[in-house]
Amino acid sequence: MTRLDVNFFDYGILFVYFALVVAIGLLARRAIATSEDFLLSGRSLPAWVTGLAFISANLGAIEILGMAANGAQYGISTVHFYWIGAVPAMVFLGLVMMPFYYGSRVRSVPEFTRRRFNKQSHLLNGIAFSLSSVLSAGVNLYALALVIQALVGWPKWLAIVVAAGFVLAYITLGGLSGAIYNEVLQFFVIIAGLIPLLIIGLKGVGGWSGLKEKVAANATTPTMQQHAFSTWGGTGIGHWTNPLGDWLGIVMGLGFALSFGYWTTNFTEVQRALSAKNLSAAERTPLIGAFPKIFIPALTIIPGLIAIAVIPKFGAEGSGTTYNDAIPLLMKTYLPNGALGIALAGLLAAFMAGMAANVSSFNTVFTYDIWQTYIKKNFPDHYYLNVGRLVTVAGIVIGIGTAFIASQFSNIMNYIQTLFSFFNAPLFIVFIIGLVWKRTSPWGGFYGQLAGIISAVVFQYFIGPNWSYMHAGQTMSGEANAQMINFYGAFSAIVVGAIVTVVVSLVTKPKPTSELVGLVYGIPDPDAGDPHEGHVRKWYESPKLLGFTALGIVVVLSIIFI
Amino acid sequence: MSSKQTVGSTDTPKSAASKLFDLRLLIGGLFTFYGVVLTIYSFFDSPAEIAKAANIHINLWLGIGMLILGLLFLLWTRLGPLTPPEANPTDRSQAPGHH
Repeated sequence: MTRLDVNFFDYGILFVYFALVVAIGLLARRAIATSEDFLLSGRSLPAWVTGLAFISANLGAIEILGMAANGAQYGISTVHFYWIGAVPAMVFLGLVMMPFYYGSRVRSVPEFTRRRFNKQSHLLNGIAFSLSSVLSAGVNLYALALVIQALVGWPKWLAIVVAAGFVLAYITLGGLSGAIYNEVLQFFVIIAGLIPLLIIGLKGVGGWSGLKEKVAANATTPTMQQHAFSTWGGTGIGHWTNPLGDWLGIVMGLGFALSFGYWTTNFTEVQRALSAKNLSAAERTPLIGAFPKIFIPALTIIPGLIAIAVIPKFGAEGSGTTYNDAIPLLMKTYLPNGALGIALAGLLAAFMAGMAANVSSFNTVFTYDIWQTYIKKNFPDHYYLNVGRLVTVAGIVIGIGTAFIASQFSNIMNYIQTLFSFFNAPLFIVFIIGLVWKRTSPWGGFYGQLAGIISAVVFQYFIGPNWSYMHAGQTMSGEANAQMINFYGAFSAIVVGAIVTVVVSLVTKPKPTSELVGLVYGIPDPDAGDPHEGHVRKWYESPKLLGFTALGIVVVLSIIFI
Repeated sequence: MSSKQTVGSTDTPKSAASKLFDLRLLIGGLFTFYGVVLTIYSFFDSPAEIAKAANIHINLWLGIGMLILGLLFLLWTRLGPLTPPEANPTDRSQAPGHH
């Protein structure tokens, strides 16, 4: 990555943006009187806000730079991470899971685990989530420092401290509302920053057909020469050549296990929906988020391809560039001062939003699920509001520490992050079985989760790397396909988790039906009231309409780009 | 719901969430401001800068685009002001611990 020529005008744009970031925190502070105001925005936000925050919490800068990198490395097969690997799960969350999450009035995903299963499952889930959130916060911070150092020349420690200071200001003051409002603002700024890259880049390479020709001419890997513009090409079982492996892994591993696991059980995402003002708005949160998700690949994957087309030997060894540099390099190549300032503001905002999303979900789980549940029960609400604020500060301090550790031992951090990624899929399958089968016992849930996690770890480190089918050309001499091992590993976690959940449930005591009210399909909570009461629903607010429209668009696009 | 949250929420002061400001005003304001400033700045773009962006006068177009988005948000705020918090008793009675 090379230095950007940032001038006074770009700095002016950044200054105004960062001033507004803090102003949001200050203004949101007035709306906080209770711990739920601070940790769940008082469950008061409209659907368009929570919906855009839902997608924005996932649109951190690591995601943007990483997906552009995948576009440069794998071509348009990368859309699988969006179309099959996100949208169906988001629709499922909105239409199927949200009535249980929002309707049961739980304040977090771990709390749902405690009520449906037992304290052991709850602790496993709560502690794993807390650790992985502060860890991700630190990794975000470190990635931000690397980019700022490369682009504008600040030393890493300064970037870490300044960025953490801004996040601290707006989420300690404004709580979840501060985080969510900033996420929505960041959504628009990052889109405004990336659209010029796409338009200029496409014109520069001579349109879509010019892009195809130039990628074919300049690609340095056989994968990109063969499959850069085909999403399902080479995914045949037994003789796959697609960079993401065979269709079974893509559909069942990525599209089902990983995607449903992440989108439906990751509290950072679910929390955005829980902050909505009523069940209808909560259901629509992931559905509204699904629409931008369908089209974001145009702003990430295509710039990755443009980088292959215009930057000589982009990403190849010895070129001095890595795939992650795609967007910063295109910013340098194409954007004049002004548009450059907007893009830079969007990128920095995306880094901060990524970190803020992690910390603002960590503080909720730690305050409610660990502190209030196990350490200091039955204190007045004001006490938990203060605990929430202190935990926010602590989360950021730990994040800073993690960022400095990451700068020394980035490989270790990668391992730990991969490890935590094994927790979502087993939790999802346990939830689903628990939702539809009231016989699912607390210990069935606990051991199902544990067995799934172990299965994913065993597949990732022992089975996958030693199975010739997981290697390029289906021989051990070919390079191991990390994506495919990941997909198959997650699917194995689902299968093993499901079997263990069912078997253990059959031999252990289930919860009495009275404790499952509102938590299991077919046992509604009579006291829950009608969540749609007093809410005149307009036709375009129908969750089913939104959900199936999103799925329809994905099907049409998938056929066009097959 | 288990009993332990009951105590916490019976002492709960009233939520202040209805005091949250209107985000549309802020997005509208920022994008209008960026749009105007960027459009003015674009008049001073050198031919070299326009050539760099594949001959697209990007600052002008981005400025106009952001201005339009900003004005649309301001218009929306004007046409549909925030509704005062619904006096909906079911909302509050569903606070944790009331089962």
